[in-house]
Amino acid sequence: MYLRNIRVHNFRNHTESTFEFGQWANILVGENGQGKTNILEAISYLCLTKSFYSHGDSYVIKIGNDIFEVEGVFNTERTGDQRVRVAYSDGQKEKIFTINKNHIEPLSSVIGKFPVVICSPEHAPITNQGPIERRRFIDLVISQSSNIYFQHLIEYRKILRNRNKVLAEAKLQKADPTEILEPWNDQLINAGAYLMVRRQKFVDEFERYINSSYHQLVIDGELPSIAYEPSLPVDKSFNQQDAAKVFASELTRRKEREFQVGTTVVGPHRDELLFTINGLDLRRYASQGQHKTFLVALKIAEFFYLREQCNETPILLLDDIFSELDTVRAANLLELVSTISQTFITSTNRDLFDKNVADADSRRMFTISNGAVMEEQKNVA
Amino acid sequence: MLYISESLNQLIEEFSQLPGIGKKSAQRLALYILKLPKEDVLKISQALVNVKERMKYCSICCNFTETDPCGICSSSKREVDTICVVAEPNDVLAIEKTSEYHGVYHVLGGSLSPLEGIGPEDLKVKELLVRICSDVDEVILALNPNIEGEATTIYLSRLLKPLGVKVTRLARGIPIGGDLEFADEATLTRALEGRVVV
Repeated sequence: MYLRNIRVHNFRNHTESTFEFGQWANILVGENGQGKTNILEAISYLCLTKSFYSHGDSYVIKIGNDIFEVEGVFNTERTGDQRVRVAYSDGQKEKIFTINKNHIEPLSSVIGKFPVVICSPEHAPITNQGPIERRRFIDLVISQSSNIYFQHLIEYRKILRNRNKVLAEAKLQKADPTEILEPWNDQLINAGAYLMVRRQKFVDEFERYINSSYHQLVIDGELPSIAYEPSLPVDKSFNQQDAAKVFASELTRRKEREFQVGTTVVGPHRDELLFTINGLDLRRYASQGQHKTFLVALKIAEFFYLREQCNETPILLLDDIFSELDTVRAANLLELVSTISQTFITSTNRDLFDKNVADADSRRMFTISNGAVMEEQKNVA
Repeated sequence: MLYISESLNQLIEEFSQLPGIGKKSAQRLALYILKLPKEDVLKISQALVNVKERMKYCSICCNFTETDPCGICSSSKREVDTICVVAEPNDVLAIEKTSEYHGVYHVLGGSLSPLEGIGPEDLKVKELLVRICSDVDEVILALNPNIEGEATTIYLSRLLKPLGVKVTRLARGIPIGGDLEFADEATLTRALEGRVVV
């Protein structure tokens, strides 16, 4: 799949910008704060219906306007050209997503149609902070490859919110919520057991991808690994019934604790994903450089995983990550990504690309300045 | 709104409070009312007042009715041994349209939703339990296929089963006349889970 073109309107600092993209590397260069990342954000809206920054849609609208609009044409392997448009009105608090002028409802059904892999400094917490970021990572990868997983995830979160509300309310009223909790327990267990099985299956499959991508960036003998650590004490190889059984008995066992704190204390919303290099916990022992390399490797692995699962080659958004890698790793990465898919790269340093992209014909360079865009002439060899 | 008289503006405002009516539809309705002969407008307004004054809850099934008990509960043609439990009066209308159900109903007045502050005491649950006696063979739980409907189904089935009554629920699956390829994944998954031997 690749994105032929995009038009953004009242989006961040862009009043109206249009791009015709190339099928391979598209490099957006410019000083800080000129609007390079905003274009990646706009692409994220087309693929995921939202930004990769975790804030609301109203922040994205160009100051002083009520509506933003992003429109683009994807050329997909499965269904050919697809015109995709997303518009958000702050006044009506309404987001409309259309594919070939057909309204898509609910928005969640868009996920996975236009697979995308995004790597930005915004994602650094995946390797160096708490488990919530790693769960978000794993959830987005599996959701893009399986809409059923995503539906279960949405359902699980809703059930959890309702259940937590019952617990919090009971704590406040000093009441026994047992009877009102039961209908939520059953649903939480069903949806939760499904999520756990899928996460375990994903981690088992993903190990191979992370191994291979890490070694494309690093030549020496570092051995990366990921492990799924469910919050529930399940056996090594468990199926959905096993998980449901353990979940049910844990809810019973931790009942008093839940009443005390007024929230759900066990379940997939407390799962952890452990990253290691040579058996050592990345969070504790890795250097800055290893963190960055691991993150990029994760994202490259995500790319190959999704390509196989989705029957559609994802596009890659690399936001300002080359400046964070040493020259050898950066060159390895650039060589790797510029031939596997359509890639969007932002950078303040254009020298890197002048030197490294061997086949200048296959890449396009755009200079972004103050919300305006200029495509550069191709280098004449 | 400028240039529009206050009374017209007020009517538009009132209409736009109605479910499913946006600002534009409200305007269209208000202008339509304005063009109607006065007697027609009186008819509409009288109908509005009547429905509010005459309609009450049926003391048996808790549906809206003008006569208590309601037409369905007092009909001799309905089989009182089967009670179909629904969330809203709308759902009764939907099932009645099939003409295939001959039992009676019970309208809960909503579904369990802690986030919206709706608990069992806000629904007509006690009223349902007092109806369960030896004459009732089956209770059909016909609630919405979402997490709130599901929670209500589970909650009620736990209360009802110990009373020795058969408790059933609606099947979930693919709509008739629909194409498999257009069914959403969640529906298709549920339909697979609920598959039956042919």
